Amino acid sequence: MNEKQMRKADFISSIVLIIFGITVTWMAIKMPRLEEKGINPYTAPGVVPGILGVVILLLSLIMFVRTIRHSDFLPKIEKGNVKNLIKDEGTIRLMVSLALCLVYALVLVGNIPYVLATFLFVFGFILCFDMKFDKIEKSRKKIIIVAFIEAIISSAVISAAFQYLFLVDLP
Amino acid sequence: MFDGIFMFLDSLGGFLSFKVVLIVLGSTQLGIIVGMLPGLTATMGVALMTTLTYKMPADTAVLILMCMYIGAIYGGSRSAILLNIPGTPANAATSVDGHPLALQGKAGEAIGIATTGSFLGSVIGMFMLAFFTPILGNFALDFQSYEFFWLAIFGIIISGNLTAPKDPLKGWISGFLGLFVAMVGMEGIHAHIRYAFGNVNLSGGIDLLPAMVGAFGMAEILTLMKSHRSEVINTPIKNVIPHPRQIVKYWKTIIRSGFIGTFVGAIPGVGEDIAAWVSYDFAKRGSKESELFGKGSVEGLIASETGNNAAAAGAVIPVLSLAIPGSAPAAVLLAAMFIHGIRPGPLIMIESPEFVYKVVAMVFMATCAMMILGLSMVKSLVKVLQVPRTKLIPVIFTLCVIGSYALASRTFDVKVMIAFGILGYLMREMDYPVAPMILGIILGSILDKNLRRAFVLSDGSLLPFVSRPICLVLIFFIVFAIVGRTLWFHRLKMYVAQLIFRKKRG
Repeated sequence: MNEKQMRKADFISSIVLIIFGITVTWMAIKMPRLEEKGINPYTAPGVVPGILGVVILLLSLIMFVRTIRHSDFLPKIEKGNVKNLIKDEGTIRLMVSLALCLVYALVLVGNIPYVLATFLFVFGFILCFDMKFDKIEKSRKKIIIVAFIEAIISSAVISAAFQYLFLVDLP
Repeated sequence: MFDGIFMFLDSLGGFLSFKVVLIVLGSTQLGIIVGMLPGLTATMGVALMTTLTYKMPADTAVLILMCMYIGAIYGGSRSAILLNIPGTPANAATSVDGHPLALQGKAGEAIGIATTGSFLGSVIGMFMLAFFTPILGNFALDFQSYEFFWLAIFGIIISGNLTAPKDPLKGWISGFLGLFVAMVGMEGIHAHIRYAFGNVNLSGGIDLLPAMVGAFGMAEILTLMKSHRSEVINTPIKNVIPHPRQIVKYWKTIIRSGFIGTFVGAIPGVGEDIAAWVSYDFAKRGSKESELFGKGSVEGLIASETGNNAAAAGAVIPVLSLAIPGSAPAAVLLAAMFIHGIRPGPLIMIESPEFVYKVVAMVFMATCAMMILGLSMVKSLVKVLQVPRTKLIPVIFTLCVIGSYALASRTFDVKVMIAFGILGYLMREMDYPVAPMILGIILGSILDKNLRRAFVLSDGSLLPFVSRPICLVLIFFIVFAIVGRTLWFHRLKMYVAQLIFRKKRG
């Protein structure tokens, strides 16, 4: 990120943090003080979260004020910028990686046998990047064979290690 | 003094078996590989390894993590020398002189010097660890709830300061967010459930391990996959073992860098990268060949590598004596100790002093393994650098998932890992350091319990918080750490410097 982009990011993050700080503090105030149980009010559960909420609020307010002191602080969303961001190779690589990771961790793991889920993930990940993005100078057949072998070995080794060595019930 | 030596020798003797030697060699080798792969840091290595070791006996697990830590900090010098890409941030200073040496056809020599420097740095750090941990531990015995509260705040502030050199405000925010994360779930005094929103899983709190694996591991994976980069190395490597004369010539630099590295490493939140740069800077200032620095100076290379490995041992000093980590990997190590039921902190010298010397013995074994492995199998190990990341990343991510799941066999932890992974990535993109947040999660319960206990002890009075001598010292450091980073303090400093300069001239 360049300096201008960082200022915009700071502006947005400071607003998010201000809202967060207010919410945390408000929830801490609303927490029971347990007075009916004869408990010392200084040990009430909301004391420390309340202080933390106020500190987060103060720090993010400082950041907010610091950001708006610059004249060009308001984030301007231009059509071209958004287009460029979406078309940027880095963004696409990031989104594809994230999507593959999310599908594996949240959809496959726990719903199909772990070995199969891991095999599919490793195989799919290597194929996707080696063929689509990195365009490795090898024949498709070679890439598929390498990805297949690595996926088989890694899924088998990881599953066996966790199941038999670390005695974990695989998901 | 002699008790310590006996306990160290006793611990070392207890470790000496074929199985343990294999474990040490294996985990140090793994650490070197993690360190030398650009993008994979020591912190990530230790975090991932924690997931693999938590069912092991505590001593074995900590030994493996220690080997991983020391191996990774050293391993990063390989890619720094051969590719001009530091394997871990700690090796950034190494690339300044290491890579020019490699370009001059002295890659083998540079690797040998870096290995020897790392070995000597670790040895100096190990002696300081053995010497200072009991002293600091005994000093910390005077700590009460008031001091612990300030210590937790000090840890967050100093960590935020040093991990976000451009903008400490972001570091402090990150630290306080971490403290808040620790508030989620059942609190330790009245068992009241906070910020769980009726979710049964959240009421148990957010576990440190999945949060850490996500914030360091998954965030690093996303960062790595975003950039398109593939490096191929074809540097000839020969004469790895350095000539003793070359090392003896720079004995002063080695000792100085060892001490600086350990000292900088022991300051909470500073880390090995800053230790390496400070050592490098001091070496350059004190060198008779300062013009060679940046162009392939052996002295510069030795200074940075001695400094960063000494810092690795130094970072363990506050972990053991105060339960405050000196660096990001040390924060993970501290978390791992907690997971294994070890309670580092001021009471460790009373409850289990032998554990401190066990850790010293672990550092010693890891250091020896690093030296042996570092000077052998160089050519074959360098081939690891040629493995494309697309083949490595999916395997690492599967380890992040299964490692988080294995902690309590629940998919909730995988979701926590994913959430912290995305959060960690966004924080990195916006220059918020992640290490203070993890430190905050560790220090959260210490702060929570001690602040409320202190309030009970003082009956709500704030006076003991600001009148006890150790509290005053800690408050001074906190205020100085905050004020020292403001613009007006910088201006004041410049003004005073100008006044002195004018007076001297006038």
